[in-house]
Amino acid sequence: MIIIDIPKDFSRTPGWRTYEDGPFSGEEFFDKLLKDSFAKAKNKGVKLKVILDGSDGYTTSFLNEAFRLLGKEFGSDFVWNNLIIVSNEVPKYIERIKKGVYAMETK
Amino acid sequence: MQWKQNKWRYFIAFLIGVIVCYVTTQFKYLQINYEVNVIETLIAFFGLTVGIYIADTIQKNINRNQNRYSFLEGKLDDSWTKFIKLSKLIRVDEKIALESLSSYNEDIVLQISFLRNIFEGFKMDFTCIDLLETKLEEFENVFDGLKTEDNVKYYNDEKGSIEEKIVIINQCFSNVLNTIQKI
Repeated sequence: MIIIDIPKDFSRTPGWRTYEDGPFSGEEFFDKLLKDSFAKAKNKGVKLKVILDGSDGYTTSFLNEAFRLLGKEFGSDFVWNNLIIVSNEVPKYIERIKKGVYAMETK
Repeated sequence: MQWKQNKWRYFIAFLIGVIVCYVTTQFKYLQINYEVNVIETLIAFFGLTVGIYIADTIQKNINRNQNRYSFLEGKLDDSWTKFIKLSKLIRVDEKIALESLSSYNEDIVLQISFLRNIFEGFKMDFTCIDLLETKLEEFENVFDGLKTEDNVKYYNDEKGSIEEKIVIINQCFSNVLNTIQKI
């Protein structure tokens, strides 16, 4: 299993949606970490575990953008079936991520 | 003579005094009974134990509810105050720094999520706090849709809609406070 701990590996203060919205955006997270990690996990045939706990909170746009792009790149169902989201502090984030993953399909 | 004019009144008052004295002297207030009735004593002890248990339980319940109230009210008040500060900032201007919006996320949205977890842990009704979370998310989404320039969001066109959302969010905050006060 490949693990991304967002507060440790990316930022404890994630930002907004795109690069235009300032540092540590969802788009930046996707480009720098999420995309490659998911591709590695896919090649190894393992799941990707994403730990959200320990940050100063996530904007809906950050989660939506990062996982929307991931769903777009690898396919919504495949992504959702191969992701393990850890969000004990705010369980609602999991639902937001799911919305993000399937965002392209609902459009 | 004065007393002759009121003799019947004095006479009736005297009779009432005699009757009252007679009745009161019939009670034996300080009579001590040295015999011990076992059944009555056991019942008395049982009653006393139950009384103490009830008093202790009620007191603990009151203390627990007071602690819960202070804890939850303090947390809610903190987030609400920060939201009011942010609302004022938004009302007087037409642009806002991303930094301020990030603190909105950290100081208000995240704290309300924690508060919701506590509500759930205390097995309290969290419908109102769910609604507040949804409204805060909608508020955040308005800013997400706005154009960013140099880490600043401009919201002149959306000001009316934002102010409406601020009113609704304040109502939601007061509903949550109302729920906490029912503890």
